[in-house]
Amino acid sequence: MAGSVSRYAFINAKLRARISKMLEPEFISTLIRSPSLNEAIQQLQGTPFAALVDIYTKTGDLKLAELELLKKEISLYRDIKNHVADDVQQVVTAMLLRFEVENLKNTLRLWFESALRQGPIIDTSVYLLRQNILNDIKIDSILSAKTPEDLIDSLKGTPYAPIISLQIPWMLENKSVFRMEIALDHYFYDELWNAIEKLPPRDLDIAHRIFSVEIDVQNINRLIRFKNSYDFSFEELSRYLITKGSKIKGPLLSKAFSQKDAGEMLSILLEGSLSGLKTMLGQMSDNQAGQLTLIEKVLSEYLMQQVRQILAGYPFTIGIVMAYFILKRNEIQTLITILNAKYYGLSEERIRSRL
Amino acid sequence: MSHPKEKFKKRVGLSLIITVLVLLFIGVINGPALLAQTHETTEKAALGTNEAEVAKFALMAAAAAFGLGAIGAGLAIGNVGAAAMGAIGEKPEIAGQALIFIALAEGLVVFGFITALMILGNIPQ
Repeated sequence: MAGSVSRYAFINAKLRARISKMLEPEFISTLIRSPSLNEAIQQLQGTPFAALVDIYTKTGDLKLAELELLKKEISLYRDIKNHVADDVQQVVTAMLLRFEVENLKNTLRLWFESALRQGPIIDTSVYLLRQNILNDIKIDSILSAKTPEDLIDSLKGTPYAPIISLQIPWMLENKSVFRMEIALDHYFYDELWNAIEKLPPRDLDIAHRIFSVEIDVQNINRLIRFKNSYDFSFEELSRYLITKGSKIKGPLLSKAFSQKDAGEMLSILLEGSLSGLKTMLGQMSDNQAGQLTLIEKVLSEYLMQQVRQILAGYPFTIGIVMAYFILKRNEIQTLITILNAKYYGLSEERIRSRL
Repeated sequence: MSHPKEKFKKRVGLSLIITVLVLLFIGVINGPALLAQTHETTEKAALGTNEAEVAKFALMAAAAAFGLGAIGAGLAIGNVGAAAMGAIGEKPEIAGQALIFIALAEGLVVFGFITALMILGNIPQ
């Protein structure tokens, strides 16, 4: 126990202090009530997001402000990495991989649009992150690749070259980067799971708990979206789910898959795991967009419930680091949602329903 | 540029070596005088065997009470201090509250010190 206290005393106190400084619900309400995007952005003056005010004032470009938020989030991970033990550093590094994978997925989508569909990408490519996160990924070389072979060449020296290379035939045949994205996601979760396995027992238990929930959230999301939107067969859909760490498998998965209604699927998958689920599902609307928003809300609440449990438990574990990352991601996501909603002039009520 | 952890380790190692050297230096300066005094005292003293035994164990107990108290306080302050620094770094306004917790840990060595004094006060003369 003494070991875990000295391992986490500093970082636990530091992160709890940071959590206490996160944007308060009252501040979020003020942001939502702001009459315009410009005024909402000005409210951020004096908060940890003040850099956004500068960028938006100079450029008037919300997407660039979002890119700044992403850079800020990455720098938080790097900062925390310096304050934790070696094995926890490996987990944080694996978590950083998420940003690299997401950025690569965005780049590949643009490459596909430009190289294979001959579409214009200049306007959107400026919003890609061009700093190296873990591997030396040359975004501009990828975007300028004329053929799939050039694409693989531009990824040489990174762990992504073999993954992408394996998916090229399917991509050419089906004219989609869908499987490429799934393969990258699988790579990320495998790496993360391998890093977690090196943790001491108490940390391992907490990390398993939280990542299992996160993986389940991903899987539930995929299960509902892929079944309803793409009409995949059970076998095909099972291939796209993340297997490591997931509790959604076997009879539970097939029972959920056999349901027609998204609400029914959710209640089967989360039965007994999320308090207040029935009340939330009672608000399910008939239109698909409304259903997806509610599903996202339910899944986010499921993850937040785990975070709250971890924060209320024994403090000297990796849980505090993971809880902080999840809360910070949630905070940034909330901010992005509000600012975009203000940009599109959505009403207060609609913004609140999306948070 | 070397890693901050390595730098920290080097600095701790260096302070340890300097401390040992200073202690050795003090020992060399004061050692002969103390030794002469001990010889003198042994010649003069005519304590009974029982009293000498009690005194021996009492001195050991006093040393243990103070020493272990100090080690305990050191360990506690190490952890509490690290946590306090982490929190103060993010929220300087809680420095006052954080110092209270450091003082609580510091209290351990005071208990040890008082216990040692009480033991020393009861040694038969």
